[in-house]
Amino acid sequence: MKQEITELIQAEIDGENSPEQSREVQNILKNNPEAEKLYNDLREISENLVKLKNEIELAEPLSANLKNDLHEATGADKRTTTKTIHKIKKEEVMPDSKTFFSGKKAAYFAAIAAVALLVVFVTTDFPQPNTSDVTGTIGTDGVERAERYRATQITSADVILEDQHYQEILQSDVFQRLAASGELQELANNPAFIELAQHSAFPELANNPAFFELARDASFIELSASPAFMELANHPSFARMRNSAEFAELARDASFLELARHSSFTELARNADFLELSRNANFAELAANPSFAELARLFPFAELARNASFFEVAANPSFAELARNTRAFEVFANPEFTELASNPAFLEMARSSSIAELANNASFVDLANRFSFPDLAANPAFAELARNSSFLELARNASFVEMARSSSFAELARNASFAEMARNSSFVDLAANPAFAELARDSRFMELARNSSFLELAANPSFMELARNDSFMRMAANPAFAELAANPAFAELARNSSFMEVAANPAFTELASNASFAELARNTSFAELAANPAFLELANNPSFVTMMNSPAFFELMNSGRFSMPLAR
Amino acid sequence: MAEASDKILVEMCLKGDNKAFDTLVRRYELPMYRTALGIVGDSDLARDVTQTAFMKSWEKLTAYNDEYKFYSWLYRIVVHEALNCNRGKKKNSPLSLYQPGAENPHLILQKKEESQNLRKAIDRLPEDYKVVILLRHFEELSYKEMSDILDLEVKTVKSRLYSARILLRKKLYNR
Repeated sequence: MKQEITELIQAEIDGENSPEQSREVQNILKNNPEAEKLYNDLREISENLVKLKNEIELAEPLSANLKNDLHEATGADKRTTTKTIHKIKKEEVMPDSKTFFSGKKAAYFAAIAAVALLVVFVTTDFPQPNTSDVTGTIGTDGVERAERYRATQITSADVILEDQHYQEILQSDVFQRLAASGELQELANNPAFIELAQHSAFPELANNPAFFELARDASFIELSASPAFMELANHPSFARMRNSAEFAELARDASFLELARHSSFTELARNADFLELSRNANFAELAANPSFAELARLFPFAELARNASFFEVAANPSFAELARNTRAFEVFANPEFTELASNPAFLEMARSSSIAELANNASFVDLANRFSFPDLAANPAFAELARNSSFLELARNASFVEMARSSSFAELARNASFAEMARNSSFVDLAANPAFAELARDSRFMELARNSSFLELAANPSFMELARNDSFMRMAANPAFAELAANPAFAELARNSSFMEVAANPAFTELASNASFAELARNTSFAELAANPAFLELANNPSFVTMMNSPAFFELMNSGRFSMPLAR
Repeated sequence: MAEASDKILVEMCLKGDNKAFDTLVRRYELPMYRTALGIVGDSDLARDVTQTAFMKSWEKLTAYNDEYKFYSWLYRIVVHEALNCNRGKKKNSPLSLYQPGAENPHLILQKKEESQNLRKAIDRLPEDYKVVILLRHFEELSYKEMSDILDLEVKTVKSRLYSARILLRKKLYNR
């Protein structure tokens, strides 16, 4: 459905349309059943949500408790004097979720983690790792700069920390444990870290309230001290990154800090594979894509991304190429796709080494980059199809890829009946058959395939069985057969299991490939005959099937003496 | 005082009148709680979130910009607090919208299958989608108000809302 229609429908439900737009919506609904269905569904959901809203009550008012809390916190009637009222920043109250996990920012995640640790460690007199005593030595009177550590790098004027935040970080179990183990010292002695702390963006960052939220996060502290992270910090590309202008910009971005606190992200970032990936130039380019942010924001993606195989795929140059395609990203950011991506079967598929192979296949990348593919992939039915593990196997097949590149195939694939058929595991086998691919490239076949009667027929499991037969393929390539198969009456006949039995007989397929038969099949009388209930009844008769299977019968039919008169 | 506008009440608060703030709390506690509940999925947590959000709003009232509606500013704080609360939760902790609890008055209504399915479907939405659904359908906020609260462009709000609805539709009707 066109985007302008869906926008109008949504605005109608939300009461945001002008009277003129509302009239336009009514006209659309009259003439477009799909739009009408969508409208009715969304309207119903909307009404049910209102009912649900009305079910929610607050058992006990908050106001009484709040009054006490306010008095306790500030002293009665001294609201404005007991605390320093912060100048509230927009992002302090609500992060800009659109920039969550966004673009290059994701690639800079590790840098922030480093800074998080440094700000705590380098700017304090935190005791050296004398493991016998690591507790109770933390100053309580605000923040003093560390003399022992790089005194020339950061001055107390640069870093003004609010002691309550600071104390929380220093007193956290994780921080204490890491300090005791010596991991923090090792980190702070790391030349890369020292360089990082000298970065021009550092003082500003250190004064950012959101940064303290981040620095308090236990998983963050742990991540920063992990060996894999150390390795990353020493990597040349990391050095380039931290010296870049983008980094300075990033470090000032509160939403990035918000991102870095996201539990899924920290979990992901602790993954050794992620660190490996983050060193990859292709990934950096990929991460710079704005659509990637939209994708990454969605929880199922994070789940997918935690899968080790995903990293293998993501580090693949072909995948990066695919992922740079804006249209492809639109698909990936589609809720249907992310839902698919969170499906265990899909993850299973993604874990398969074959997916890397697939992503390496130039034809597949080419296909995926084509305009029609993203549309197709956004189709829920396709998503369902793609969950089929055999689909991956199919997608690797050169013949199939060749076929799928055809724009008519994309059109076909969007057809609901086709999707129904394609969900059938036998279809995958069929579609992987080179003969089928050859057939499917034929524009006449595509025309046939778009015919709903044919699709209905093709969804029959027996038909699938039959269609894998090479002889049948030859027959199907016959224009006359295509014509016949498009006939609803033929579809009706073909749904009959006895017919399928007959049709699976090599002798029959041979017959059906015969010019005389083609002649016969084109004849409207034949279609009429095939549609005749009595004929179907006959076809159901075991004796008829036996007759049809008889070599003598086929001989007769092949002779032309039988079919030609009938055709007349 | 109960009839005074938000603007007047805020001005009174800034002059140190705590009763005016109390009026604002009573005026907005239910919608704020509802929003928090929708995001955190637990009535006790939602109470805490709402309470913290009101406390923060009180502390930071001098920073409130009266170009925006007061309730938009409050929603902003509540949504932020609720999202933070979710981040602090243990991974994979059950997140069920309107979890039945001792004080949960709508437990009885959970028997309604339709309502239950809808709750489940909302629960399973990605967080960002859930927020727009709640703000639009529970709080009946306009695109513009949602855009102010979430600090997103109106077109992003619309597209996120549409995606959320399509996902709900799929979950509810499988189409």
